[in-house]
This record gives sequence, C-alpha cells and structure tokens, in this order.
Amino acid sequence: MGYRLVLKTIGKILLLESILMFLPLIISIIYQDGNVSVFLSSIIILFLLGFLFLRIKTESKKLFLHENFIIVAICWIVMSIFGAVPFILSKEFSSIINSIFESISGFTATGTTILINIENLSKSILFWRGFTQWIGGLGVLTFIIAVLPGKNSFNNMFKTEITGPSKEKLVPKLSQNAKILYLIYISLTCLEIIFLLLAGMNFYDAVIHALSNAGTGGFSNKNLGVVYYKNIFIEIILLIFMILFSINFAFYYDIVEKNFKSIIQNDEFKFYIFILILSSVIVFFDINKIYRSCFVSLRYSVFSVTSTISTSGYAIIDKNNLPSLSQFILFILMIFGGCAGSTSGGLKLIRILIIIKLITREINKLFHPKIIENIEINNSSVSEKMLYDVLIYFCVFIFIIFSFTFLLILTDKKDIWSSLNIIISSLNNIGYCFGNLSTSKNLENLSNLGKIILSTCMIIGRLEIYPVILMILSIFKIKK
Amino acid sequence: MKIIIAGCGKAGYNLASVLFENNDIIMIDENKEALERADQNLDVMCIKGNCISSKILLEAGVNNCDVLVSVTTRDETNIVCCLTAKNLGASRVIARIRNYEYANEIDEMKSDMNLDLVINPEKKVADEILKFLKFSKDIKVDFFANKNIEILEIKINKKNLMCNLKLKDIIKNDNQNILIAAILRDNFVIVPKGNDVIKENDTVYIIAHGNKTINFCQRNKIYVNKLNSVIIVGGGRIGCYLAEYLNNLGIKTKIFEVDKKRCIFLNDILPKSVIINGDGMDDKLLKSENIEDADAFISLTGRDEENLISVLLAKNLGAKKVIAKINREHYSRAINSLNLNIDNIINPGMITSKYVARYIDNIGDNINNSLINIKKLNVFDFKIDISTSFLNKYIKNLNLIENVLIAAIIRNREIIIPDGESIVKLGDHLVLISKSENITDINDIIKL
Repeated sequence: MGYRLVLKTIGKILLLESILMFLPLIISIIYQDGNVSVFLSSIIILFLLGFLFLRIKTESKKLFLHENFIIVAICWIVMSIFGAVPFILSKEFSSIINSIFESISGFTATGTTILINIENLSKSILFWRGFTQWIGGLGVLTFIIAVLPGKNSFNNMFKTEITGPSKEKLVPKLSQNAKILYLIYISLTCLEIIFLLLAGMNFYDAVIHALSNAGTGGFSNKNLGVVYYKNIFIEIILLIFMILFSINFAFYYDIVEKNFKSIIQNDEFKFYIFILILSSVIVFFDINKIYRSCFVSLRYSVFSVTSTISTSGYAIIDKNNLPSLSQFILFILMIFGGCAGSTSGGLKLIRILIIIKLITREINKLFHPKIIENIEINNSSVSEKMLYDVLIYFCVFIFIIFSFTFLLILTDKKDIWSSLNIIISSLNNIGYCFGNLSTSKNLENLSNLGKIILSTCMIIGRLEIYPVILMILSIFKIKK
Repeated sequence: MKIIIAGCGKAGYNLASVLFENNDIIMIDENKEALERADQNLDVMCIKGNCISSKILLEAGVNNCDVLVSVTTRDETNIVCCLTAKNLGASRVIARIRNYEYANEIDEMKSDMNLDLVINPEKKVADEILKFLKFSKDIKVDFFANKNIEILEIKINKKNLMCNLKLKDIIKNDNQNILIAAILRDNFVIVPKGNDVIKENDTVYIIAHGNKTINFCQRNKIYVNKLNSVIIVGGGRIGCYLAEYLNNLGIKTKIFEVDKKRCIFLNDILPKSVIINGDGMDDKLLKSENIEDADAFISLTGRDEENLISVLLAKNLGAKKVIAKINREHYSRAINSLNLNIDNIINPGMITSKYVARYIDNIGDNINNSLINIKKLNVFDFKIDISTSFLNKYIKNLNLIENVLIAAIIRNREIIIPDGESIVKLGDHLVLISKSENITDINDIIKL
C-alpha cells in the first residue's frame, strides 16, 4: 500500500487544520482570553508537521478501493487527535484523554461532552470546539477535494465520507460536486447565524450554535444548553435547521436547478417527514399526561423528536424522566438517524426504508411463492446488490453495537441500559442518550479504556463502519 | 466541456478515460455493471437508461452539452441517439457507425442527418495501419478531408532531391497536384512562396491527394517503405478496409480467412485481392503462400492470442514487417514488456478514442475548425457560404493576410489543390493552413 501517499494526505489534512485554526486565533485576539499563544503554537506544530509530510515524494499511482477506505479512516483519526492539540495546550481539560475524546466527539459531530462546567472554558476554545463539528459534518476530504485541483484518486475517498448507501453525483466532476455541497453547507450555516441573531442571541453564541447545528453535532456553549435562553424562537430556528441539515443536500441542488419532479419523487424525504410527524404525535400524547398543556407538550415533543432523528442531540427536557413509551420511541429514532447525503449520523432512513420494503417483499413471497418484485426507491428499482449491501450493513451495525456494548460493560461495569444507550449514541453520532451515562459527570468518571471505546465508536459511526474495520485489519497484517 | 457519452462499453470507457480529466463527462448505459466500473475508476457521472429516450437524455443535460458521443453496440441506436440529441439542443453530436454496408454512404449520412463527426473505428484502424505501412517513422502523416488528402511532415536531408531547390521548380518537375504548405526552419514556420528554397534540415509539410504522395516521395528520394505484397490474416471489417486501400494503391494483397462463407463474401467485395480459406497460424500454408516475399504481415483476427502467435510465426518465416491487432489493453502492456520481435501493435480502442478526443480537444480550444495542429501550424476547414467576401474570385487576386495559405478546395467531394487560377465557389470547403490559431471566420484571412 502507498504509505507515502497516506502520509502525504495526512500532511494535507494537517495543513488545512492549521489554517482553520486561524479562526479561533482571531476569536482569541478579539476577546483577549489569553489563548493566543495556545492557538499560535498549535498552528505552528500542525503546519510544520503537515509541511514535513507534504514534502514526501509520491509516485502517482491508482489507489484500490480498500486503500481509499484505509486512508480516510487514518486521516480522520489523525485529524481528530491533532484537533485536540489546542485543548491540551490550553490546560482547560482535566486530561489528555478527555481532550481527545472531546475533539473526536466534535469532529464526528457527535456532541457528547465530557465537560462538567462548559462555561468555565475560554471563548476561543469553545469556538474551536463548535467549529470542529462544522468541519467534520460534511467531511474534511470533501473540503480538500473542493479546494484543491481535482485528482482522480480522491473519487472513492469522497464516497467514503459522504453518508448513506447511495452516492450519486450531482454533477460529473468530483471537485465541482464537493464545491456545490460546501456552498450549500456554508450558505445554510450563514442563514442560521442570521436567524439566530434576529431571535435575540448574541453574535458569538449564534455562531457557535449555528456551526454545531450545521454538523448536526449539538455542542452548546452553555451548561444548560438550549434551555438557557428560554426563548421559543431560538428553539424553533434550531428545530428548522436541524431538519434542514439532516435531509439530503441533493434536495437543495434540485431546488436551485428547479428540478421539482425529483423532489416530489424523493421517497426518503417523504419517509422522513412521515416519521417526524408520527413520532411527534405519539410523544405528544404520551407526555401530555405529565405537562397537561398542549403547547408545552407540543414544544417538547417536536423538539426532542427532531433533535434525536437528526442526530443533533440538543435536549430541552430531562430525558430520563420521560414516560417509557416516549423513551422507547426516541431510542428507536436514535438508531434511525437522518437522510443519506446529509450531515446527520445513524443508520440513515433510506436503509430503513429499503429494509421495510424487503420485509414486505419477503412476506409477499410467502403468499405468492413465484412472485418477482422489484423494490423501488425514488421511482427506480434498487439493484439486488444494493439490497444485499444494505442488509449486510444492517447486520454489521447490530453486531458492532452489541460487541462494543459488551466491551464497555467489561471495562466499566455500568448497567446494560446505560451502556447500550451510550454506545448507540456514540455510534450514531447523536450525543444524547438515556440512562446513567447521559450526564457529563458520569462520563468523565469512565475509565480511560471506556473513553477510547466510545471515541472509536464515534469514528466508526461517522465513516459508516467499513473504513475503520479495514484499517484495523490492515494494521494487523503489517504485524504479521 | 460537458460531454455525454452514450454507451459505456469498451469504446465509451476508453473515450471517457482519455477525456475525463479536463471535461465533465456523463455516461449513459443500460448495463449497470458497465456503469459501476466507470464510476469506480473514472471521475464521471453515470446514468442508467436508454440513450434514445429523451427523458434520459434530458436528465443527462443534453440541452446544454457541448458534445454527445454515441458509441453503443448498434449503429442504428447511435444514429437515432444523435438525432434526438441534436433536436434536444446538443451543440455537437458524434456517432459511431461501423457497418460495412454504410461505409461508403457515411458522407451522405453525415450531411443529411446533421452529424458533426462519424467514427468508423475499423476504418480508422485501417488508416492507422496504412500509415504505418506506407511511411517510415521519420515521416508523420495526417489525413483530412475525409482521408483523401494527406499532410506529410518530412525532415529534409541531403539525399532528398528536393534539397536546395526552389519551390516552383519542385512543383514544375512534378506535374501532379502537390502543395508545399509550410516549412519549419529553426523552429520558425514559413508559409512559403514560389521562390523560397528548401534547405537541409528543414521540416516540410506537403499536402497532396492520398494516392499521389507515395509517387512524389519516391521521385524525390524520400524514404518510403517499399510495399509490393501484403498478407492480411482475418477478413473482418478492418481487413476489408485495409485491403481496399491497398488495392487502390496497386499493392497485392492476400487475405487468410477461416470461414468459408466469409471468404466468398470477401471475394465479392474485394475482387483484386487473393482470398485464401485457411488458418493464419498454419506454417505450411503460410510457406506455400510465399510468406517470405511478403513486405508486411498483418494479423487482424478477433482473438488477441491468435494474432500474437501468427505474427511471431510470420516473422520467423521471413515476413519483413509484422503487425498484430491486440484488443485488450493489458495484453499490449504485457507484450511491450516482453520485447518480442513485433513491429507494431495496434489497439483499435485506443486509436478511436484518441481520435475522438483530439477532435473534442480542438473544439475546446475555440479553434473550432482546426483539424490538425502540427507544432506551430494550424489547419482549418471552412465552408464557403453567402457571407464569404471573396466568392467567385480568382485566388491570385485575393489579398491574403500574412502566413495563410489556401491548401485545398473541396468541391462536391472532389479535391482541388488550388493554384492562382482557381476560383472559390459557393458550397466549397476551404482547407487553410496558418500560423495563427485564432481564425474564427473565413473572412478573417483577407487583408482589410
């Protein structure tokens, strides 16, 4: 395998990361929070390392599919670890492991935080924490493809970073594709900042919330999260943008291109809206018994459902006190996740939809043993290979959930419900869960091994499992 | 540029792989596996569907595409696809039409159906083999105006009779229609006049009818391959075209073909060739057919392995030049690394895709009429219409800008190498040679 190429790609990533760190540096200069030296030294470290790696000479060689996967996985790990450099240098985190955990949680747009008192942190560090979610949301390699002149070898890397099973291009050129995606991403983020400002948030908070909402991450710079503002408009804006960021970005391209037909035909989008409404209604009636106010129940139910399914993970109520029906609905939604081709995590609704249709087909087959039936999504039939891929992915997904829950119980001996929940929350990049481990305090008390397990889960979930597995296998091959 | 390629077979894939780095490529095919291969290896967009359906074509964005290339398996599909695309607004369409029966009607098809370029891969490959057979490696050849005109690039040395002669004397010695179009001297292009003298080490560009270049070269002691008899193994389409070319040049051809029915057909269409019903790998048969006298031995059967073996055999038996057709690209890579005693390997797929790619590249450079670009020299093809300012005038009376030469006039498919007395008429095509790259309109060549 091209180790040189791996190092060179890492070099590019590090350089890019060091450039991106100029933004928190500027924040630090503006607010004078004493972190100028922290960010300056981080920039220098990353820049030098990146520059060193970039100097490596590589032969131009075509990469095989699995090599692409491995490079992407390694890049993500390296990027997340080096993203923790400012956290470590600022000494605002209690340990190195905690810093790296927070950084990985940021880049994978999970949003699980290990910080007990967020408001203690300096403004630039908090900004960087939110910014990592924005960077990780759509993918770093995608960004590199958009910025650097097009290289063929990135083709499969791009596909690895974009979420979901179907990766159809919007336009023929990869770099153009990446540019369009980032353009949509940036404009939506800017729009959200403006709306949050109008709703009465101050500029700094608006930027942080918009950035982390864009990556469907769910970091806040307040201990109480969204509840702090006690502002219904802010909640509505966040709600709308959570939905916007968790639907396929091709949707916006179609709107710009006035391709309304394909919007109407989009089954995944319709399914998404259906699930949203259905679960909101169920949760609404369930919690209405407690709150006894239609307005409050509606507000809480819709926000919780959206926050869960879009894998953002903002919370406005104490989840553990919810009635069990609501808890269970939200738990299922955690696994579902948003639409393919968005910044959300989870299994992706298109896979769920395909699996549901497969089940109906199987049942149909029992009635009519000789029936031939194609499964149609968006008015065109899904190939058998894709069906197979989706099924296998689902199996692997379940397998990963159970095996990591097993590992976590082994290392930390927490109860089953909490362990299962935190694993699912990490794997689906939600950062919001039920059980004991939903509070930062308990999370911080986890053993180091437990934190590593959770971090691994986040990266596995963000890259949709296979890249990380391939990487681990290839490392073992080297040792042989 | 936005290019749609209908058909993701061997040709489509090759074409895309040549073009995708600088262009936006959209591929249409009904075969999912073929598309997946392209999607994995190339930076292209793939659409599954029927390339004749206007819904699919519109989905691919045919209304604002620069070029549509149709290379599906069936000629008829290609034609209909191009017609539909043109109606839907594609600016240029290219069709692959390979059926032998259509070969002589391609010009009519092209103009009647408003196709911008028709590719006949087999014919193109036959051209390529012919070039290789006719001229030594020092001479570069290009065909244009439907392959009836050749442009030769010749490096002059002392042995050439042309050396140190005035242009008008060369032409006088040669009463044939030959045009010395340009001279490249010390990296300077000269568009020559009658009194210019050709010197040693010049590179001379000569334009002439295809069947006259060989005579001209021989008379002027420019080295060309002596070609008296050629053996072709495999009477497929390439073999037919090649034999036809060679027969027209008066070169004896023998065609080996295993299929008896095909032999009878070949005998029908190629009366001048000797058709032999036999295997090209049979050494006894080859010997009895005087292989040692063959100036060239070309194996063009459908199987790469057979071509390779028979060519090696022929070389052993004394054939002077051997050429094998190899379809699979990885085979030709392997053969090249083996250093076998083969003079040339022909890869049909690459030849056609490079040809189309060159055509498309030329569009992209905005020299939309430039056919050939040899070093600093551009060749343009313009149609004369009513807007042309010098209609019905003698060429000698035209006040042309510097460094432009009217190389040929094509009238009703006849080629005239013009002299001062020639007249430009409505409907003609003019072939121009110029140092300048940006002649966009025919009237640009007249001094104001």
